[in-house]
Amino acid sequence: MQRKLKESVLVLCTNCNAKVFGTIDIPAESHGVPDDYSVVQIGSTGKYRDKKFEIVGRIRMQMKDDFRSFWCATYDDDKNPTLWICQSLESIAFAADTFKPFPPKSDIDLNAGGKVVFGDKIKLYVNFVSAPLSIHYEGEIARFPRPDGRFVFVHAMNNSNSALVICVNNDLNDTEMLWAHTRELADVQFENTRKFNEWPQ
Amino acid sequence: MSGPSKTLSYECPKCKTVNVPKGKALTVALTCKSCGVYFCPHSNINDKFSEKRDPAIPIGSRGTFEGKTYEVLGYVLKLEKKHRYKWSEYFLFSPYHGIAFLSEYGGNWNFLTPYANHLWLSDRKALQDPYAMGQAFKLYAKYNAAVLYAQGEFFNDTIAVTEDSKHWEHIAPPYILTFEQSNTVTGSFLGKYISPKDVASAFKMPAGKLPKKDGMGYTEPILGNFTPVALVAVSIVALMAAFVINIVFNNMTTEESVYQNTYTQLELKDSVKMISTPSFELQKTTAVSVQVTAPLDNDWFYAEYSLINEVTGEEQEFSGEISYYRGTDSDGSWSEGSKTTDMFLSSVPAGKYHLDIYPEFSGKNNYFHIAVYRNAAFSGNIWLLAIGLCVFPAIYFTYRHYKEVARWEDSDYSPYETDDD
Amino acid sequence: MSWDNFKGLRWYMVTVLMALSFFAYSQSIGWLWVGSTKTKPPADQVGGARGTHGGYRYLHHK
Repeated sequence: MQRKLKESVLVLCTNCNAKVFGTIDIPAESHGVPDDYSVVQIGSTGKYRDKKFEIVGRIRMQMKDDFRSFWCATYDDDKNPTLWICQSLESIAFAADTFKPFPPKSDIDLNAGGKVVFGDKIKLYVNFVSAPLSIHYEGEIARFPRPDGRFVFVHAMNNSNSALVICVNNDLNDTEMLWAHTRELADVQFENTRKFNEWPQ
Repeated sequence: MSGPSKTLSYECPKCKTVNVPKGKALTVALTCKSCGVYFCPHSNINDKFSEKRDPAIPIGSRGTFEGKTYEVLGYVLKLEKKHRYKWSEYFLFSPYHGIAFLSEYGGNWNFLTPYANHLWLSDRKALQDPYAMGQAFKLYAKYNAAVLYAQGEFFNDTIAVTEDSKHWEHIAPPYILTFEQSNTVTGSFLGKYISPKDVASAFKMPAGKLPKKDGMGYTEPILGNFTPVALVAVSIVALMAAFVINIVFNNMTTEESVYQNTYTQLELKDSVKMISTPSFELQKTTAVSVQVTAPLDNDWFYAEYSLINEVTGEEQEFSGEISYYRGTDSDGSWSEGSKTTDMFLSSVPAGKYHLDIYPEFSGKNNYFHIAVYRNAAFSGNIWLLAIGLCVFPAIYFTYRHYKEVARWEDSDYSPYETDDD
Repeated sequence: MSWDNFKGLRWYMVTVLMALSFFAYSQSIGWLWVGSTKTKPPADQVGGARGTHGGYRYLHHK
């Protein structure tokens, strides 16, 4: 099976969820994603900033009160070959970037409404913070900070719709983050999506 | 293509019935289909309720809002802890359109969907008057709530999220912007008032099965489906159009003299005491102005006039008096009245006319000057129209004020003074 | 501002358009709604013969 992501660390068979390639180990129960009525699926396509992308894999984190899907997409850009799409039922954020270390001299208040501060100027507000109860994978996955799920997931925003997805480890020095751009769910269109015959559109 | 998916099922912690959630992996809390106990499979929480209320819209019903079909997955009866009022929330879902809520209080409904486009927080507080949809929303309620009863499925632990969160509701009728914040999540929803009739229509059910409407909903539009700004905009455009029409007609028509002459008392025939003018032509239906001037000094002049259509014989009688007096007293010199009068005949049909004049002289003055104009200028209509155009907005805004006071009666944040203040 | 904000004003806008049209028509024929000099047909023309004033025939004066 040909790998499409430059940073590919895991490839699961799209038919049987068996591991085809991997530089990371995940438990057997994490192979495959439970059905959650997602219309987006592997093979779905779309456009972000006028560039076409194709979904190739997904990490689904189940939290106590919510979930997050991290879709991995190939993106027609040599600088940022992976497009991360962080999706919940209430928001969607795009990041044409890779996870980067959380910068020194920055701080996070791990409460909803708390601040994430970079130096004196950049300030975002946390709108979701939760540790994953379980993580599931499907398709091809790019490098992800903690595939074992031992982190606290933080989603922060500012008023210019910049979003920050942060995987916080016990030690902030071992924390990674992803700059993203939040969009209204209704404004995002995917093609080659899944249809549900039992549901009228 | 995705790999094989896993079918989820959850065993009730109380009666051990196996429940297959309709929302599949999205469902994180549900009530058992057999015993009704509420439980969260991921966190082993379960609860029972002190109150039971069947939802007016049954779980599993499908309703279409703005062309989008949702299914009712859950129902929650909530209690506001301070003022102890209860309201219902229906949790809706569509794989294509996501989640939505229908909230109902006193038979008044709002339809809400997630709103991610606004930053709500400033130092862990909701903004006082957030701006969204191009307008400022006013804080209507800030409260803590409890869940009295739940039925169906939920994509969060609705009891914990409700009870651990602070809730803010801002309104810009018919819109509502809600915000809730717990230690782990902030969430925002944008909604709009929906009439009971439209709710019933969406679910294809009789309106009589919904709770009876009791009073005005706090996001209910006051009169019709429009905003005050829209009414002001329409009224301003209408007024501008009226003045433009007025200017155009004033510029298009020029006042033209069709006859003028000076007459003396000597010209009165002994028997009839009347003067007849020569014929003059009005080429189209028009306003006619008859101006009479007399060299009066502490004197008066009165005349009756007949404007006669020489073809049809139609006659219009009118009269006019002029008087001018002056003098001096302890305050100095004074004068009153005028030496001229202008009689205005509205919408005189086209045709050939003459005037019969029946003057009465005082004996002091013995002559007068008369001038007849067609296309006479006038401005009375524009002011009447302007007043007319302001009538509906004036009634609306007066009515609106009283309704707004009523709308905010139940709020701790009313911008209007109340008897309690 | 979207059309949604104006939907409820449809009938008001129709009424305003009719009022503006009536106003334009009135201006074109010189119809002053209120304030023109009071006129009346002669008493003997109301339901009676035209062409007289105060007992005198006027048409023959011309």
